[in-house]
Order: sequence, then C-alpha cells, then structure tokens
Amino acid sequence: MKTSNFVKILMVALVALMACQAAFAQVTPYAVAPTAAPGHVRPHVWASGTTMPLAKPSVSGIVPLALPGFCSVPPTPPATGSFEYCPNNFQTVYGVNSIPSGNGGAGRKIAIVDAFHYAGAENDLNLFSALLGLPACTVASGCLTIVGQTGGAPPPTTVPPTLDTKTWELEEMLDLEYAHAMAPNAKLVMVECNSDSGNDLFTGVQTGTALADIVSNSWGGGEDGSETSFDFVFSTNNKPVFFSSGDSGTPAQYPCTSPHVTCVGGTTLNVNTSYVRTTETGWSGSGGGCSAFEPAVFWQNPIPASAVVTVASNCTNGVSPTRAVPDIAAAANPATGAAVIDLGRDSTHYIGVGGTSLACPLMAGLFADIMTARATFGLPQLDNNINLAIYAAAIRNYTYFFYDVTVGNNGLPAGPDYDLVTGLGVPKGSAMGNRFFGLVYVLPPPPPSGD
Amino acid sequence: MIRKILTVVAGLTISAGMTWAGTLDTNPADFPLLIDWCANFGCTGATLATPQTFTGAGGISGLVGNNATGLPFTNLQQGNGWSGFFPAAMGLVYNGAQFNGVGDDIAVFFDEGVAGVGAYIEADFYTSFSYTMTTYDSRSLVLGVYGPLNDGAFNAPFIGAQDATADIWAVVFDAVGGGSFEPDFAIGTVGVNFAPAAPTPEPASMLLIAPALLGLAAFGRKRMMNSRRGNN
Repeated sequence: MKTSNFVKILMVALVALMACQAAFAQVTPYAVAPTAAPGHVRPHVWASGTTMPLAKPSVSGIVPLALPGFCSVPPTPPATGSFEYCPNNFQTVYGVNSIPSGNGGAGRKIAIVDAFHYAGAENDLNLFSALLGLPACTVASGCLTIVGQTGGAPPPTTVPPTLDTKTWELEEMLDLEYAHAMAPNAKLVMVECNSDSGNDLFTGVQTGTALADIVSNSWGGGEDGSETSFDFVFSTNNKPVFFSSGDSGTPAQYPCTSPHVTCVGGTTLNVNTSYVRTTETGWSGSGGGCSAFEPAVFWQNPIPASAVVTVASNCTNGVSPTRAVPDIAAAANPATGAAVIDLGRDSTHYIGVGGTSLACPLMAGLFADIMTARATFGLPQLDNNINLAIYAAAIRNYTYFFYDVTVGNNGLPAGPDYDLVTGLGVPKGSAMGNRFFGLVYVLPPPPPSGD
Repeated sequence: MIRKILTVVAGLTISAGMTWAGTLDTNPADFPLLIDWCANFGCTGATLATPQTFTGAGGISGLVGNNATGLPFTNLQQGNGWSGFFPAAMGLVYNGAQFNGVGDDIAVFFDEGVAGVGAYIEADFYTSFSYTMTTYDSRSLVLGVYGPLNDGAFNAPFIGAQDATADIWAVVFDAVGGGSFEPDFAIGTVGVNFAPAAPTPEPASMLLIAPALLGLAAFGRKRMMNSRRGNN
C-alpha cells in the first residue's frame, strides 16, 4: 500500500470516528428538564415542582412524613396534586421485603453512572439515609465508592456550576438515594464522568460494569445509524446494565435500544392508605417504541411465538424487524415521584423528582436484591443476558412475574401484556427472586405433543 | 448436693427426651390438612406453567411447580394418566419429565409457615426407587433433609417431616429411579399441619426418657423420705 493511500484511509477512518462521536456527544439525563437552545445539551429535568422542609418521619422510615403530599398518605379521593414517595413506600410496593434472602442486596455492588462531580454526594446521601430510616452508606465504611470515568479520582467540581451540572447533580442524588432505598445493604459505586458526552459516559459504563455487579444509567439520547457499533460497551464485563427509557414518549432512545441493556420505562403509581398499590398506569412521558436501527432480538421473538410479546415481536423500522423498548417499568411520573435530598440545589427541603431516572435505579436496586438471594441459594447469577431471563419468565407465567400495566399512552397505547409504554410491566420482586420458581435463562419449550 | 445434681440431670434428660424437631414422619394421618391437586387443577392431564397457585384445607395456599428450571408440570390422576400405586383417584403433580425431556424436582412453596408437611411419592414405570424430601425456612434456606429412603417396586410411599414450630415455608421432593428421564416421578396429595402432630418418640428418644423417669422417681422418693423424716 502506498503511503498516500494509507493516509487517505486513515483520514476516512478518523472522519467516521468523529461522526460517531458527534452522534453521541449530547447525552441527557432523565431527571428533570427545562428546555435549552438546540445544539446544546438538554437536561430532561422533571421536578414535580413541590418541596418539603427536611424532617424526620414520625417513626423512622416506617411512618410517613407528617406533611400531606410528601411520603404521606395520598389525598383520597380524588388524588390531586403531587405525591412524592419515600424509600419505605417503594420497598413495600415493589416487594423488596418479600424476597426471601434478598437481604437488602447485601454483598452486591450497584454502580451509578452520571456526568460531572458533585462534592456533596456522600453528605446528602447520608442525610437522606438518616432521615428516612436507611442504613448509613459512607466512603469510610467502604459502602460508598466515588470514582471517575476510568476508575480513578473523580473529576474536579465544575466552577461555577451550570444548569447542566446542577441537573446532573440532582440526577446523581436521585440515582444514589433510590438505588440505596431499594437495596439498602448493597454497596454503591458512583462513577462520575468528565462530561455528558457519549464517549465519557460510555467509558463510565464500562468502569461501572468492571467495579460492580449491576449498573444503573439514567440518561440517553436520540437514535443514530451508527449506534449498533457502540453496543459492545454494555456487554463488556457481562453484568446486568439498566438504562432509563427517556421522558419524552416516542420515539425510542439509545442506549435503551441496545440489545445488551435492560430498558426501564415509566409509570404513574398510586397506592392506598396502607401503601398497597391501587393502580399503576403507563406514564405519558415514558420513552418507548420500535428501534429504528437495532435488529430484533430473539427473546422478543420466541419460538413458538408467544401472545405475551406480540407487540414487541411485531416491531419494525419499516424495512426489517427491530428491537422494542422498554423492557420493564416502574414509577416515574413526577407527580408520583420520589422525595430527594440534594442540598446543593435546596439546602432546606426535600425535592420532588420523577422521570424514568427514578424508575431505573428502583429496578437496579430490586434486581440487586434478587442477585443477593441467588448468590445465597447458589443459583446461576444474573448477567448481561438478563433480558432472556426476564422475557422467558413473562412467556412462561406472565401474571406470576409481572404487574401488567394496561392503561396509558406515550404516543403509543399501553395494553395487556407487552406494550411500548411500559414493556412487560412492573416486575414482581418476590416472584423473580423466588428460589424455586424465579428467573431462569431458558425460553419455555414448546407445549408437549403427548405422552 | 446429690439431690441438686439429680434434679438437673432429670430436667436435662426430660428435655432431651422431648426434643423432636425436624423428624421424619411417614404417617399420613399426622398431616390432616390436605392439598388436593384435582380440586386445584382439574385432573384433566393438563400441562401447566410453573408455578401455579393452589389452595388447600385449613386456608393453606401457595405455589407448586418444577424446581428452579421453570419447566411446566402435568396434573395427572391415579388411574387417569398414571397407572401406579397411589391411593385410588388421587390427584398428582407429575414433573413432566417425559414431555420436558429432563427430570425435575417438584417444589411446593407456602404462603405461610407450616409445622409439618408430607406427600405420597412414586417414580414412573413404578419401579423401585429412592426418594428425598427437603424442607426450607422463610428465607428459603434448608431446614432439614429427609432421605434418601428406598422403596420397592409397585408402591407409592408417604414421606413427611414434622418441625417443632411452624417454620417450614417450602418443600422439595426428589426421586431417583423411574423411566429414562431421570428423575421421572409424581407426588400425590400433600398434607400439612400448622401445629406439630403428637410425636411418635423414636427409639433414641425413648432411651433418653427412661433415665429421665428413673431420675424423677429417685428424686421424688428422696423428697418423700425426707418429708417423712421431717414429720417424725
């Protein structure tokens, strides 16, 4: 090969690489969201607009806060205004305490991947834990680790802070606090990336999968024709990797559409005065739809075909079958969101926060509990193929494993079984973590033809 | 001094003699609350997804299915799809080994703790086989393993276990023998109780009770003698 040709090829390769980088240069967190000028990073801030003075529940972590509308009995009937849940509410509704030997995720590590450094993360997390009845999780105790995107020191604090960094700060606290809420005995690995570029965050995901057992990511962006070339990022260390689906309804977003991630959509959660779920419906903001570029995946297209996943099986980009998202769902509507402490934004109040940014750490925490149970029982551990186990469960006994969300619309309708608003619905932790009847990595066999 | 020692020994011996937690019990009558698989699943020979919910006498409820594989099971009936030696017309949970191509253990998971549980069990082709029952607590950790017991051909024996408290939350039945899809077997009606049935002391327990009674007798006699001396 002549040198000039080699240089040409090198140039073409570099241009292609830069194009790919540009495609993923602007990745947005799904926590809260004002608008921003086109071409800039657009944080998807979904604060509920409500706050409440910081206070301890009347009985630590068990009885709700006294102020109606925050970690409290929701107004009934009808439910009006905002209601922000606390850790004990989610633990009860999503079955954290009914997973035998789940033990709050003890022995597991959950990685959270976000952009920028927030120096107050440890302090805020532990105030949250102290006020809401969770065990402390500190750097000194070894429970909390804060690293940069390659596993070294975290990046320096951005001075002065920007709207962008403050949004990621709220994202970080939401993720840490609600992963901790669902798996209070698990360790946390906070991966703080240098920026919100795709390159930095993807590096952070790989660090997260190297350092932890399960990874929660509440960010994403629009799909791009080159996205399949990045899918390897999420399977690098063979760990379960969860992503939020986005807060803008359709179309589907990346990396949620990657076949190597579990895509978590959003719901509106309502409970009665005993904190038992009354309804859970599809949230209008829940990201979902058929991928434009990711090919169909076999666990959404089982043989024999299953009515439970028909909507997913029928996904197409108009040319060929494609992957459907989300896979599962949990609370996300900011009006039924979570009480978050981020003293960097509000030093005297809980902040009501929603978005699929909430749903993602909720589910990552729940599956960390399930992983603890499986480790105790000596069952094969959940890994990057977790979607196979999740869909196999749905296909063999849907109502046992899932709360089916049948109402709602994100531009596409929710309905019985799989839908493009909430996926398979809300996982039942006690069922998926059951030693005898829990998750297995095999699609159900065809029905018997006879004795 | 001797009297004190005798008292302690007697007490220890008696308590040891009454310890019977986690004992094998093969008497079906000790498990009166029955889970009838025909009443739950119809005994139509249907293949059912694992797990299925069930209810039984005394408000007992829970889940049943193949253990840890997710494979479906089959609801058969003695004399109707199963020609073995369970009691006549008894409803069965068959692990479906012949349909699934693999043999599974059968698990029963309760919604509350029970003190005792047992079931009839038989391997396919009704040959001689060995069988084991494992009980689990509320954390799904092993409480006790009973077996393996051996049985001759043409019989469906009953295997059960009693615990001191109602802390059995799940039970798994396993069999070795029967058919080409090992293990290929079924369980019949499951019986439970919420309070320990009257124990049938085992020989070892009897050996402990005997000296306890002797100790008590000696102690009583000594007290009586002392009392008489005091009266005199």
